This record gives sequence, C-alpha cells and structure tokens, in this order.
Amino acid sequence: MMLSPELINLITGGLGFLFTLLIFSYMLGDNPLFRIAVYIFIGVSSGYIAAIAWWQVIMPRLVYPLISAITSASMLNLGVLSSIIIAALLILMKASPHLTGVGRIVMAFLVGVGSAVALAGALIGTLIPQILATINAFDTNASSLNNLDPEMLINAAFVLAGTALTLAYFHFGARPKADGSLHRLALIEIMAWSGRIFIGVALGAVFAGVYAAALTAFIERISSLINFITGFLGNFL
Amino acid sequence: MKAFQSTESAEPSQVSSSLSVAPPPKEEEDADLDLPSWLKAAAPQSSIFDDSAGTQEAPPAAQSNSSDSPDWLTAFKSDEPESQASPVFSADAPAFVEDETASIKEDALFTELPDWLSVGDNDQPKESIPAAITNTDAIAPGDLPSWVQAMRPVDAGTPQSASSLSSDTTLEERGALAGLQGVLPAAKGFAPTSKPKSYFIKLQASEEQQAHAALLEKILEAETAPIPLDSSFVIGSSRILRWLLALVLFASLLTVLIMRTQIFLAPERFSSEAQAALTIVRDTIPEGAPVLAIFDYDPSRVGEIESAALPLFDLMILMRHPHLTFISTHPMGALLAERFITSPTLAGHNYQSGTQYWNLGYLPGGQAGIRAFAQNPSQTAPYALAQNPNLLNFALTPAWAAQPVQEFSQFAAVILITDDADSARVWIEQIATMRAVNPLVVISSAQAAPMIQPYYASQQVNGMVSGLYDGALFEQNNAGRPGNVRVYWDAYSIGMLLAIIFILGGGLLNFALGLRDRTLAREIK
Repeated sequence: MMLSPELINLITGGLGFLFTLLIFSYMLGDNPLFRIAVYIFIGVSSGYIAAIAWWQVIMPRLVYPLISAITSASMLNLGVLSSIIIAALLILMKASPHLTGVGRIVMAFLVGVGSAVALAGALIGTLIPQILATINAFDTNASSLNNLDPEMLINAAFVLAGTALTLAYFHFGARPKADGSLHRLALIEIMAWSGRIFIGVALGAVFAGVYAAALTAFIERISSLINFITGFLGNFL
Repeated sequence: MKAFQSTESAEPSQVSSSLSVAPPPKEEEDADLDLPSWLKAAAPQSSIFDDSAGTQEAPPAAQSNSSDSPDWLTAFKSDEPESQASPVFSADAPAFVEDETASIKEDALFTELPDWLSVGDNDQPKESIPAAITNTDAIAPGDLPSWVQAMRPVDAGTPQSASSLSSDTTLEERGALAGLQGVLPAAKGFAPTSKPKSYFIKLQASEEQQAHAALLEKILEAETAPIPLDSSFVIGSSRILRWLLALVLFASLLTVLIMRTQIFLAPERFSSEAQAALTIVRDTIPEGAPVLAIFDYDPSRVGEIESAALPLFDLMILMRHPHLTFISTHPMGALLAERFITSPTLAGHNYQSGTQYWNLGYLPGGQAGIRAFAQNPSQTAPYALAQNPNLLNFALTPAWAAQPVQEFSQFAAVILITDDADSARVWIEQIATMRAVNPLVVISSAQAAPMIQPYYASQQVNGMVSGLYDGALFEQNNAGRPGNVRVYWDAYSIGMLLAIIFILGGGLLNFALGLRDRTLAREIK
C-alpha cells in the first residue's frame, strides 16, 4: 500500500504538532507527557544512528572493501582490512570486564593519533594564525594600513587591547606582601580589571547569540504549529 | 649507644635473676603471713623460690660431676680461660647476644653427665681410658678462627647477676603474687628513675590553631544548619512573574505570526562578513563548479540554520548552478542535507542526486576523519546515498566516478553549515592546508557566531552568514524570491525587543527596590 504525499505530509505534520506540544508541556514542569516525548526521541535517534553506523560506516568502509579484496585477491588490501577487523574485535573486548585490557593497545593507538591530529590542527589552524592576525593588524606593510583607514586602525587597536587585557585577567601570579597577603602587581591588576570589561562584552555577545538562536527556533516551532492547524483546517473548509 | 649499652648490661642480670634467687630473708616469712588462707592451703610446702634455689645450687653439683669426668674432658676445661673474668665479647661489640638460659643449658650438657655415662665411667678400668690430651696437644684458644669465637656462648655478666640477685628483695604488694619476693625483679636499668610523666587529655593547641579550629567548626555548622527560605510571598510573586513574562512573549509572537504582520523593516545593511559571503556565492564561484557543503548541525536548530542557509544556497544555485557535494560529521547530517535540498525553497531547482549533487553521508572519525577526508576525499568517503524520499533506504552508489572532483583543493568553495563553534573550529583547522586558496564560507547559528568571528578577522574564513539577521539580508537580495525569513522577522524583532525591555525593566526595578530598601534602612536608623 502506497501512501500519497499529502497523507504522508499530514501524518508527519500531525506527529510534529503532537511532539511540539509534548515538549512545550515542560513549561508546566517535568511531567509524563514530556518524558514520553523525550524517550521516543532518544529511542528513535538511537535506532537511526545504529542504522547509519551499519549502512554508512561498517558496510561501505569495511564489508564492501573486504569483499572487493577477496574477489580481486589483493593481499595488501586483505592484510590491511584484516588488521582493521582484528583491531575492531579487540576494542569490542572492552565490553567484557575481564577482557577489557585486550583492547588497550588499539585504544592507545586511536588516542595517540587523535591527539596528534588535534594538537597539530590547533597549532597550525588556530593558535599561530590568531597570534599572527593580532600582530599583523599593525603591520605597516599590510594593505589596510597603507590606506590609513582610521576604522581599521581603531579596530586593530581594540583587538590588540582586548587580547592583551583578557590574557592579563588570567594571569594569577602574585607576590606575598609584608602582612602575608598575596597581591598581583599593580600594573597587572589594572590590566586585569580592564580585561574584565572585554570578557563581559564577549559573554554578553554570546548570551545575545544564544537568546537569538533560541528565539528563532521557538518562532519556527510556533509557525509550524500555525501552518499545520491552518493547513489541517483548510482541508475541511 | 648509651641506651644500647645499658640494655645489654641489664639483660644478663635480668635473666640470671629469674633463675637464681637468694634465700628468702626475714621479710619473706612476714609476707607469707599475708597470704590468703586459700592460697596457703593450695600452695605446696616448697615454693618456687626453693626450686630456683635448687637450680642455683646446681652448678656446684655439676662441678662435682665434672670432677668425675674423664681427663680428656678436664683437659679441655683446664685450658679454657676464665670466661667470667674475661668475656669474649665486649659489651659494645655484638648486636645480638645468645640467650643466657640456652648457654647455661648447653654448659650443662657438658658438665652434667647422664647416669648411664657416669656409671659406665666408674666401671671402666683405668687402663681402657684413653690417654688424656695434654695441654700441648690441645688447640690453643688464640688459634681459634674469628667466626668460631663469634659462635661461642657468652656468659659475661654472670657474676654481676649473682650480686644483683642477692640484692633483689623486691616484695610484691598487690595481686595474686602479693607477699612474694623477687618474682618479677626490677632489673638494673629498668627501675624507674623518676616519677612517670603525666599525660593530659586536654589538647595542646596554640591560640591560632584553636582559632582556626573554631572557624572550621563555624563553617561546618553553617553547612549543616538549615537555610531559612524566604517568605512564600516572594517565591509566589517570582513564579507569577515568570509565568507573566512567558505569557507576554508567547502571546506577542503568536499574534504576530498569525497575523503575518510586516511592521518591522527587514535589514538592509550587510556586515563585512556577510557581504564577503554574498560576493563569493554570487561572483567568485565559477559556473557549474564543484562546491562542498558540510552539514554539521543538530536537527533542533533546523529552523534557524535553514533560515540563514536557504537564501544563500538559493541565490548560489540560481546564479552559478554549482555541483554540490554534501558531507557531515553528524549522524543526522545526511538526513538534514536531503531535507535541505528537497525543501520548498530549493526544490524548484530540481537538483538530482548523482548528477547535480552527491550526498556522501556520515563521515566518521572526528578530527582524524576530517583530516583524512581533506587529504583523500574519494578514498575516505567513496560512496554516496541515493536520492530517495524513503528515509530508511540506505542504498549506496559510487560517488566519485561522475564527480568533477578528485582532490579536496578542486572544490571551488567550501560552505560549512554549523551550529557549534567547536565543529567550525575543527573543520577550519583540519582543512586549512588542503583547500589552498579556495574560499571557505561559514553559515552558523547566532549562538556560535561570536566564537567564529575571530577566524573571519584572521582571514581563515572568507565569508560568514549567521542567524536570522543575515538570512533576512540574503532573502532581501535574492531577486524577490519567496522565503520564510520575512515571515519570522517581525516575531523575531518583537522577541528581541521584549528581551531588551525585560532586562532593562528588571534592572531598573531592582535599582528602584534597592533605593527603597536603602531609604527605609536610613529611616530606621
């Protein structure tokens, strides 16, 4: 039996409407309706992710290449895939408390490779470029400063000041005074106080962004409710 | 060392005193009178002192026996130096000394011959007695090797113990041994020399320590003490306030969305990053060029992300007709990409899977997977999902045979759609060296935009579109094509205005309440 697209839209729209209301019921506090909706979401998501793992990871990246290697008698590919299968089986041993140590070598390999990739990426992709960008804002050879654009110059000054002052805020080194109390240097103290302003502005921007994102999602859901009701009623009017 | 010496000197006397006790003096007879009647009745006529006295008398008997021993044995004895006078070991030389009682017993083995041996000894004719070993044949004591000397029993101190025993007249005054003398003798060196120290139960602590302890106690008391709740009136009013705020927001948005008002003007001024993104998708990308689109956002953000991304993609497809390749590190990404390309806004372009777009699906492996994909896309993600309205159809087709791309740098542009700053950071970091000079445009949620902004400032990101605001901008400049953003825009503006009013109003209210409380406090004073 084939369902018509209109009927599918009606069913999916109805489910969307129902689950939106169930989730909105959390405004009244934690209740069974909200929990039912959450449990269904978790169950459906888990099932879908399991299907994705099988059809988009294990099958195309392990089973198909293995079949191909066997049919083509490629010993190199067969060896590589065999080692992958053995490694996967060793990690599966972690499910048993008695055999959990068997998968440590494979886990160590994965963690090592992951750490290396992350560290190299952070260094090359974030730290060095960000530091260079802060420095180069005042580079006299830079094209923006050749034009002596005051807006760019002020922007660069703000970026530099914000970076330095924010870093100063996280400088916690202090010296003991005669009365035993610990205090930062006066210059560092002033810089740290100024850094708090930049941190406050940054956190305010993040808060505004989070609110804007949540508000948009809320509007989209209300809009979908309205569209479903008007569409549903439109079928009968 | 001194204590060590005293211990050593005390030890022999203690041991010897336990073996030999002086004859009971007059005090002991008096002490016997103090014994309870039942103990007197139960006690034998001879006390343990008698036995020990007998033990003390044993050495002379042994000596008499030794006189009866053969000459060869006496020859050994005669050469033996007087150990009592000159002990082999000095008091401070050995760390361990053999048990005195053991040494005495060993001596007795040689001195007290058994009856059968002594009888036989008497019966034997004198002719059968072997010739006595003369002193000249005996081994000189000085020739003994050192390790043998070290093994010799030590009986140094015996004379001292004898003298100490004779003077040991300690009388037990308590317990079952009351009235007995020298039972538990106080050996020399063990006797208390002074009044024992008295230990106080009271804690010896300085004032500072006591102050710290009091402070700690105070803190713990504060932790365990119940905190009195504010009056129910305050809680009730804040709950009402929360409900009121929610109701105002909900009612305002609902009204605006139902009425589809267009009170607020749509934004017109492009930010520099949005302008750069517009230039890239409209002008920079060559006609029909391959473009990689990365779908890394959560389904819950669909409303906002699609509002920002759909106008941009609509414009790009309309102007440049690119070949699109979709990929995602989010398990739901493939589904979201399919939903995106088949949405009403883009459905009009009639893009077909396998010809105009390829959905490579889920890319596993996190950062390492992204890195591998950037290095070798066709090997890392060899298959694409077939276009199908059935979500559970995971049929795969080879992805790269019909694609004009074999390497990552051949993508004319990379468009990253994300709601997470970390996801954006990872993609920016891992593909930085692989995408060459090709532009990277980020379409992000408003919540991630502040963290991605520095990458645009450092020119690692070439264009950026974030949130509903930029979506409205693109929709305004999309040749008048329809979209949802304008429908949302009034509600969005109302919601933002209400938030500003609530925050400012709350702040002002708090300020006024604070002024009132201060005035009241001043009046009370």
